[in-house]
Amino acid sequence: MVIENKDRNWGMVIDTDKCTGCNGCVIACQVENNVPLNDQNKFERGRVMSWMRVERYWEGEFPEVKARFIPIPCQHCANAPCEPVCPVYATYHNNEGMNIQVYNRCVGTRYCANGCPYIVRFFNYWEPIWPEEMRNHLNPDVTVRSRGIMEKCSFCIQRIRRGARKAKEENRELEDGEITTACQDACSTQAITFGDLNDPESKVSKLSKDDRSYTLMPHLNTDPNVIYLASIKENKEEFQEEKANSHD
Amino acid sequence: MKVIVPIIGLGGLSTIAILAILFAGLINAWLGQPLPVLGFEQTFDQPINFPHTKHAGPVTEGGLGMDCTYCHRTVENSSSAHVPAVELCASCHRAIGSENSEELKKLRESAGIYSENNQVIVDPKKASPINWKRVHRLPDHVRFVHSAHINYLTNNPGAIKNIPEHLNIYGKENVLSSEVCSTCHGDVANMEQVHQVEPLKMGQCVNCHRENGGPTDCAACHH
Amino acid sequence: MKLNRREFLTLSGKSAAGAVLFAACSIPEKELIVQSPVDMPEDLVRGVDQWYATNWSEGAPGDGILVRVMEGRIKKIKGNPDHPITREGSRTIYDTALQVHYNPDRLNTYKVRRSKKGILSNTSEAEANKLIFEATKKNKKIVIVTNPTKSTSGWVSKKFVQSRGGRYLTYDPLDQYNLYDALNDLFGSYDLPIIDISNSENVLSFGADWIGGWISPAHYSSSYGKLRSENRGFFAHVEPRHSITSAAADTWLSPFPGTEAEIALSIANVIINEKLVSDQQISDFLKIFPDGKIEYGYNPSDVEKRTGVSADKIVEIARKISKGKSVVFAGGSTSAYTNGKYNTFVIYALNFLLGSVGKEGGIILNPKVEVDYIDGSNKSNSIKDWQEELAQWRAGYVDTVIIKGVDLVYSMPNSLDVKGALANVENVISFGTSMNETLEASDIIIPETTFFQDWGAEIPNPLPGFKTISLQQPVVTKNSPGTKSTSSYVDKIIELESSLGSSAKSLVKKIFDNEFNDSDNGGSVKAGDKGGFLNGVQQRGGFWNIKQTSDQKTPRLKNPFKHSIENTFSTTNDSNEFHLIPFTNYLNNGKLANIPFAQQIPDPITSAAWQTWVEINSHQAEEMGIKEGDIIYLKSDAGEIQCLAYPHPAVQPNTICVPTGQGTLRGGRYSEERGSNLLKILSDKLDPETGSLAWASTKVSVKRAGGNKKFPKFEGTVEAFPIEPGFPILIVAPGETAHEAEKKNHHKYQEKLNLIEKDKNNNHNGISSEKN
Repeated sequence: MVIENKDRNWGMVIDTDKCTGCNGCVIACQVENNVPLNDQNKFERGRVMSWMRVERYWEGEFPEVKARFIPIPCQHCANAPCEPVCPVYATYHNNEGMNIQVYNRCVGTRYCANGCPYIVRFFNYWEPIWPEEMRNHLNPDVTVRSRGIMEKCSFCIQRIRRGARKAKEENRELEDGEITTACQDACSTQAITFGDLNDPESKVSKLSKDDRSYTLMPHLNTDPNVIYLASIKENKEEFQEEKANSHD
Repeated sequence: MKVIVPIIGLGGLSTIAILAILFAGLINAWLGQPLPVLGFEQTFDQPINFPHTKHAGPVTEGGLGMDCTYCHRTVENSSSAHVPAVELCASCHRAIGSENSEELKKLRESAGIYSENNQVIVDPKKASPINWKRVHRLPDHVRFVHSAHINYLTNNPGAIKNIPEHLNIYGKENVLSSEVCSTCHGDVANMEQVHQVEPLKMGQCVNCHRENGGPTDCAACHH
Repeated sequence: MKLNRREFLTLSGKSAAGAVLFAACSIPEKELIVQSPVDMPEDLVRGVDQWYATNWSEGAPGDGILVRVMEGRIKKIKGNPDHPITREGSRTIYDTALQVHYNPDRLNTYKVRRSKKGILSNTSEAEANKLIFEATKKNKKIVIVTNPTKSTSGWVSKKFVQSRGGRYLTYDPLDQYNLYDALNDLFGSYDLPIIDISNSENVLSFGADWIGGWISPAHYSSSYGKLRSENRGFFAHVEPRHSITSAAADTWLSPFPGTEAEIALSIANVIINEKLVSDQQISDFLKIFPDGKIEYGYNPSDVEKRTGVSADKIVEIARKISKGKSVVFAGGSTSAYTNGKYNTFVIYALNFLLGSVGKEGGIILNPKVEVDYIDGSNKSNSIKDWQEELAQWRAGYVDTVIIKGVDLVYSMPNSLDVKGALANVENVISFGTSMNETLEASDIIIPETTFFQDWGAEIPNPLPGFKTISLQQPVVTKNSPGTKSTSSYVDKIIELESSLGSSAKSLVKKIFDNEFNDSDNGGSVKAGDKGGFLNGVQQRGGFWNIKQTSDQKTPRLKNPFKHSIENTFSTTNDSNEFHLIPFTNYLNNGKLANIPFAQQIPDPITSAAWQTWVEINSHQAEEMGIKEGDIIYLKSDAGEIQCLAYPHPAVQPNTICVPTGQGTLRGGRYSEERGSNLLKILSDKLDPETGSLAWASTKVSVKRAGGNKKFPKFEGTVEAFPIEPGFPILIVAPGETAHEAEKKNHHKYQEKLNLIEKDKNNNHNGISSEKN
């Protein structure tokens, strides 16, 4: 009768072919996880906090130009570079495949942020300001962090806990797709899938074995739990030409 | 010399000033701790002196023996045990209770109960909420869920601690929700004024989780 | 005093911290109080969340949303997957409504201006009610102005002005008037058809940023997800600006502004010449042209010269869309030139050539839904109507104006001088959730409820192909924590004219009671009685019946060539003129300007926030000596504004793109003195055919002011990944695996490295990534 009665390995698959760069996940994550408001000053100083961010890359020159988008949350690496450097064990890997940040342990050395190749860890340089009225919409399931604390995507652990608790109270196993992350809910095009990678029948583990699946920076051997699906280049003719050229 | 003396004087003064401020801060920090750091058994004067003994105390000792979950009704299915609405108090006390009791007068005022022409009238427009003082408080970074603990303890009575004398639950396989509260809250039914009996620090949580195979992952409670 | 080691450590730690911070970290008094409320609402269980299905009506077309309510407070909003409009979709700005509701600048008192030259001062509800009652008596001439809506509030507005012999008008900045008008000519109905992108194989869109914000973004962006599933459909987009829709397209064409129709005709030309579709379809299409044929001059190579779009691309798209299920549609800037109606008409007419009208994967006509107690229009009044109306106000023919849901003073073009007109109206009564420029110019201000607190019903725009009514129900009470003394618009108007009903709730109840009687249980809710039916509607967030569709009748066609074909731009008589393309971002034309959540979502293309910026082609900017963050003056024939430059490669040369929404003079702490109001420099050019504002036909001169500011953007906050080409976004060809693509990229990278070794001075890492 414990919550983790089964070893899980939570993972996420993000289909970059479906991502439109609308930033829906960014704001949904911020609201769900009480991420502080980013005022103009933070933008100007490059201190914006965004557990989930959408990066934009340019491809080509006008008129053959295209903006490509990729959403990047914490990759929850199995071999996380941030974990061994923490002097106070505030970040560690739990038995559910998640990289955990314990706020009350964190002393703010920022070593982990230096170690993270994906740059998904954010430091609270200022005390978050929430006007009295806006405190009403803060999520009571998530700690409101104070100044001097490192924070990052938690795979919406509060939703996992809530879901697991509900399943246990009803005496059943968690179903695949029962737990959704905030970014997944907000994704209009269903580009984000979340679930248990240990369950071979789950949607997320099937997608993770797709032909198009890849991980970011594989050469670092971090073994992330966030798996991306490659975008598809539409223009077949052009591709065949290119293929022909590469054979020469 | 002419220059150095004032500097020493100034330095001394400022050192004293800084020490004084630090000392004041220390005293302030000591006294300003709202929860007693030493001896957490301290009691609070509540806006209405609510007698748990009278309501929940065992019948044999003059109490009414009410079930805890009659008032704290969401404890089985939510994270919070829930302080009852004044409405609920009024549902009994519009009829029950002495006319002259000081504490009940306060309650009637809060609930908007008054009698007119020998008729008891409940007027929600005249009602106002009661601000109880919190006795058991966990820090902001802890997510404690009552329902999960109640569920576990009712099915595993062996883990219950501080069992009050009047409860006979030894050897049972399943117990009532109201029979497990004592593990953390002590024998509230016999307290004149509710006070905290267990330290409710992380060490206590983790010990109990270890004994009973509960999750000891940090992220089980801290997120 | 017992003191073990652990406690001692805690104590000393706390004391030391306390000493340093002077006990600033003691627990706030408030948190040590548990309040027992007077009444416990039956749905309030502490620590348990409730999800309510309701309707999003913050200037959007009846999207179904789910609202998470906990402890009597709204916590989160997401799309309602059950609702036929939203489906699995969502909108980026849904969560911003939390801060419309919980805003530190939220109005919570009535305000009144006792004389025209006086100042606004707080007043009691009773006094305000008396004044409002006086101002709306039977003999007064009343005009009601709202945002375009087809809902209970529209019905109330319409009925109320009918009872007083007044008028009801709507206004929306950057409207789509020409779209409605053109579609009425083409399909014989002002109800927008739904574009069945989900089931389509080839999509060609013009001008409409349908993934980002055009008409029904939740519905259409979820359609985009379906288009990109299994049998991946082809999608081409024609728009001068590089919006996120342009970025999502397989092929993006950037024509010179105002020449979109020529591309459509050129595509038609190719299809007809190459006989790619059946003769029947060709003759159907050619019927709309004067002599039954397209004039000469629309072959791709000629069109290339006039539009700047490559002829090869036009031919390629024409061949592609003539196979399989295809759909062509237009909107946004395409219908907002002086030839906007012509553009829109010609582009939608292509669907006849492709045979995709009324078919799955094409354009599906919507049924006309007539429901008692729901009225109004999704089409706003044209600028021509407004010119006439404001003349009446100015002449003093109107006694009372009631304004709700639209900031006229902020969003109307300068030339209309709406502020001056309002000054000549005896009583201006405004509803609002927080202050804005129109409220500032009003005489009586009523603090309004948000849609979280009120009852209502709305007909989505466009419908999903069948009859749908979205329900709006209160998820928190009128005086819930964080808000107080707010009034519902519908209830307030009903108070003034009791013959309309008793309350918003009663109207909604009547609507769904009628539906229960008519529905013979064929719709989304099955119930035995009226009460059960309303419960079911409340659970699902509305009522819809997939059987009540339109008959997809043969539409009437009108000759488009009587419309103005040429786009004419306003001019500043400056040698350095640029086409100005305004666009709507997350601020929703200023409606969400005081919402920090909306302000701080980085714009997808530029990653800018909190400011008004101008997108300019990076090469052209270099030539002109403009760098990122330079302060730029934009001057049109209507006015001048100042904004920050952001050069990027995806802007058409001689074109600049600027977002609307900033620069309000009166809004609140998050919006005042921030950015510039683009709507004020839009020229008053109208489409002569319809009289609607041609908001994309403005030309501006661009001048550097000389200063440079740090550009507030997200880009650069984190480093772009300095790795192999193709990363982090890996691109595969159809059928290729990620592994193969990675190998190929690696090969290319090695080649590049060899090159770098040869020429060390030319040390590019060769990735097309964002600059830091």
